[in-house]
Amino acid sequence: MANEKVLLVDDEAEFTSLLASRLEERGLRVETASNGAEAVEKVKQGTYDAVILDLAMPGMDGIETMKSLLEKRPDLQVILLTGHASIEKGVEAVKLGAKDFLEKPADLAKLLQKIKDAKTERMLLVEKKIEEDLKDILKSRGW
Amino acid sequence: MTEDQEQQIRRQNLAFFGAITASVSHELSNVVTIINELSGMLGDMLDATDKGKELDNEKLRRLQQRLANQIPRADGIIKRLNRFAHTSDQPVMAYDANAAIGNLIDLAQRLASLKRVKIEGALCNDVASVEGSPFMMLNAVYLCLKQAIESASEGDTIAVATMCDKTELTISMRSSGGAHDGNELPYESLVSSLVDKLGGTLTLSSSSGESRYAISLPRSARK
Repeated sequence: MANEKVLLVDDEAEFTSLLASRLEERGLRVETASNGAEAVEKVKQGTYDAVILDLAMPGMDGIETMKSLLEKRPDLQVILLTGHASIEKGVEAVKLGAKDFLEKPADLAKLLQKIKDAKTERMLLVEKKIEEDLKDILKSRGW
Repeated sequence: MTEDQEQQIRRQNLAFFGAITASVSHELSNVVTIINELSGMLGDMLDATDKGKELDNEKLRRLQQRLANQIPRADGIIKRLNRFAHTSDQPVMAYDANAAIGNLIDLAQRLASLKRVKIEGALCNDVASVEGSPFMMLNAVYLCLKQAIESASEGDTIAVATMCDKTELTISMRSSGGAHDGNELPYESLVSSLVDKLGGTLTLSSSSGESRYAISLPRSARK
């Protein structure tokens, strides 16, 4: 892994601390947030290759948080973690813009692969946006 | 009681059991998730040792302690579920209403915390022995709590209290959100049917922006 930067959002502090340690040991840069509002603030200020988001949280739940995050950063790659054992919820999240979902307890190898895929996807979107912006600039200058 | 009401109660009893077990399964899933990460960390440490890294005894001790911390947590969740499950053992039985309601408050805290609402119990310390169906009593209390949670705002507290005299048990709930405006509340007819089946009365009132629910039940089963 090449230093992917992720934001881990879950109200279970013990879980975020443990998963963050394991991801950091594998070379990832990890920040954590304990609720949706904190995650939105962090995303306003920083860039992340992936946001790993718990579905069931007090206050803003995972879906609400995801909608708010994607409103601010449409290119953001959100991976939902669901403890609901519910494929329907995960599918609903993907329809609403999540990159992917994983059932808790998550297999670390699968999660790492999804983070890697999310980074690739985000880079493609960023490149596409730069290309479009460049085209617009060139067009506006008569090229 | 009409056949429709009887059927409504049967459906609600099943829905109540389902809601509580689903909530408990989420709580247990959180514990399992933490154990999964701890197990993963121990595995990482062993892998590093296999590659020649010296075993960090202090780190190992801290991980063992974190793992041990999850045992009373899971044990508490399972005990609450077990106590709740036994309330449906008999249609009529002698039970301690304070213990049963205290357990329900603990079980409902997760539902409340998702809305950032708190439930506080002020239950009398004495045993409130009642003869009847603890499961249906809890079902009625749960519906009132659910109603109060749904209409509460972030940071609100729902207070639950019990009072006993020789013949009657009164369970009162007070919530700062969703003042009762005279219109029927979403779960009102269901709670009324349940309380009616238990031979009790339901009183709803509101004042100064507070909703109040009071369920009065006979302490002896109807013959």
